[in-house]
Amino acid sequence: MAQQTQQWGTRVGVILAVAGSAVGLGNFLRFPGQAAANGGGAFMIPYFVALLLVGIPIGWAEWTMGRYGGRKGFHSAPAILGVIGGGAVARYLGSVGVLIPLAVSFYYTYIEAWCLGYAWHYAVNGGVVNAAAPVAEQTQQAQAFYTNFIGATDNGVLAAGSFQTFVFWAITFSVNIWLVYRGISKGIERFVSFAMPAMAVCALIVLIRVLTLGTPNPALPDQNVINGLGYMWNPNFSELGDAQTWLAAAGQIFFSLSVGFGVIINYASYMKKKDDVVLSGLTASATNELFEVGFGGLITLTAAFVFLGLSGTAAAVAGGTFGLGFNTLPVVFAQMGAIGPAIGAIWFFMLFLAAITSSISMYQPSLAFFEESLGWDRRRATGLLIAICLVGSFLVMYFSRGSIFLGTIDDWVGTFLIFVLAMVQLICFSWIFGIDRGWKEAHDGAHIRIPRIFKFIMKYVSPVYLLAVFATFTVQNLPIWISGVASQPLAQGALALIAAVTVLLLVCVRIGEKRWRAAGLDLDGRIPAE
Amino acid sequence: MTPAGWIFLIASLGFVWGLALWCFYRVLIIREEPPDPVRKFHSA
Repeated sequence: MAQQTQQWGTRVGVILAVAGSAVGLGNFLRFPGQAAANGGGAFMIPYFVALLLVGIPIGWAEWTMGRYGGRKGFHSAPAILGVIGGGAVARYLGSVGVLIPLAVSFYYTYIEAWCLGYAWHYAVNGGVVNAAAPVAEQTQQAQAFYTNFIGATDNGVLAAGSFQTFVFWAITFSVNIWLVYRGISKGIERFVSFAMPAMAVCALIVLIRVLTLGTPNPALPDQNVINGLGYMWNPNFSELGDAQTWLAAAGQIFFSLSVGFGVIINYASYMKKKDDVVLSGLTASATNELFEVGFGGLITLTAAFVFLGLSGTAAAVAGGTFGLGFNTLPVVFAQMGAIGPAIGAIWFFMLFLAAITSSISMYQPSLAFFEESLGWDRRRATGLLIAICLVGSFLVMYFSRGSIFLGTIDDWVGTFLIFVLAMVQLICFSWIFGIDRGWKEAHDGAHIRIPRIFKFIMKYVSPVYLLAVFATFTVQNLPIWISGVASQPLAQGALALIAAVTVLLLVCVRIGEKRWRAAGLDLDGRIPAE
Repeated sequence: MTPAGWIFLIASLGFVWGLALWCFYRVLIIREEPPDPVRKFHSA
């Protein structure tokens, strides 16, 4: 069976697709909370240091490896890492680059459906809380709505009376699969070319509304926009002496840029032979930073502070990403008066766009992998992808109590394995493929030159920095996660699902290996790319 | 909002906006390469 390689239509298309993959809920909800809790403005020092030492260098390595693999006709992380890493070990480890986006998609599309559902409730019903009720009552209403909407009190989304959540998930999942099935250029590229500018327009509308709030309650003059910005940006330099601040900053950069996720390597494999990867990689990272710092850093906590004050905003930050997004902000929109429902609808639609541009990037690597490992056409490979995702997503939705099932996949795959894949990729690129060869490959067709200092950074600093963050993160979290798995059957079930998917992917790698060898392809990277 | 807060806010926004605008300017002034010929791989 033959398979045609696809290509991006334009340079801007691939940049927007990678940036769309990176820009997600974390840019608007996680970043401001992390910054405010770890030194405010001072947080930006370790944040930008991590961007320069970890985020951008790993991104360049992934873009370069992806395009190199694409030149050899490969589009999946196992095949590409086999070529870069020179053999079977890297190839089988590369299956993590398919597992991560696939397993994360099981729950990410579900969360995406929450955003669509909230946007619909704001557009049709005017919100999820009674705007005339006191703030304390609204807070309870927002929490109750959220808990019911995601089925957090009991297992079984359908049984818990949240049928509408399932409907929103079905719509979301169908749109995702349809876009991915249409292909790189006609599906993903066309969609992000509309979605990314639309997301920017939505963010700009909400930003302008927030920055023009002034002092909405004259009886509380301290609750104004300037003080709201101060809550987020006033630096607390003492936090810079705390290792936790540096860890939080590196973690935020790492997860925000979608490095170590198996997506960039896949997307870059569809570039033309002489397409630039250096400027493109930098532009995608810059776009992500623009949404994160330029919008996320100004909107969320400023709006919360203006209406909820210091203690209310601190409680919102303590509530984490979902608490801030789905419990606190509905209360904030309720205080905005007649325009509140419209701003709420725009805000949650923007979050939906941010999520869907990320989720399509999670399905594409698996689809490419099934096509090239099993030698199936797109229709058949899409059928297998749908079957796996239906099983995974239904389990996540059914076992919704306390979000334990979802949280376990997020911890072990969406956090732990991302570090592992990033390390594998860096070692393959800088040490096995070789930094000199990688440097030359990166600059083939490049429109800007990477400063030479980054050769040293990519070979030594990035791996050490990443390893230090990984080790600290593991020491802090792994014992908690292990005890959680030991005591909670739902967590054990989630790990069993991850194990089953892993076995399936390894079998596919084995099948692909035999096929590629029989077809005479250079699967161990012995011959330089054309 | 303290003066230091304003400095961090303006410097951070200036950096991300400046970097993004410079990058997109460089990307948009470059002529697009013609598509590579369609290749076929993985024949089995």
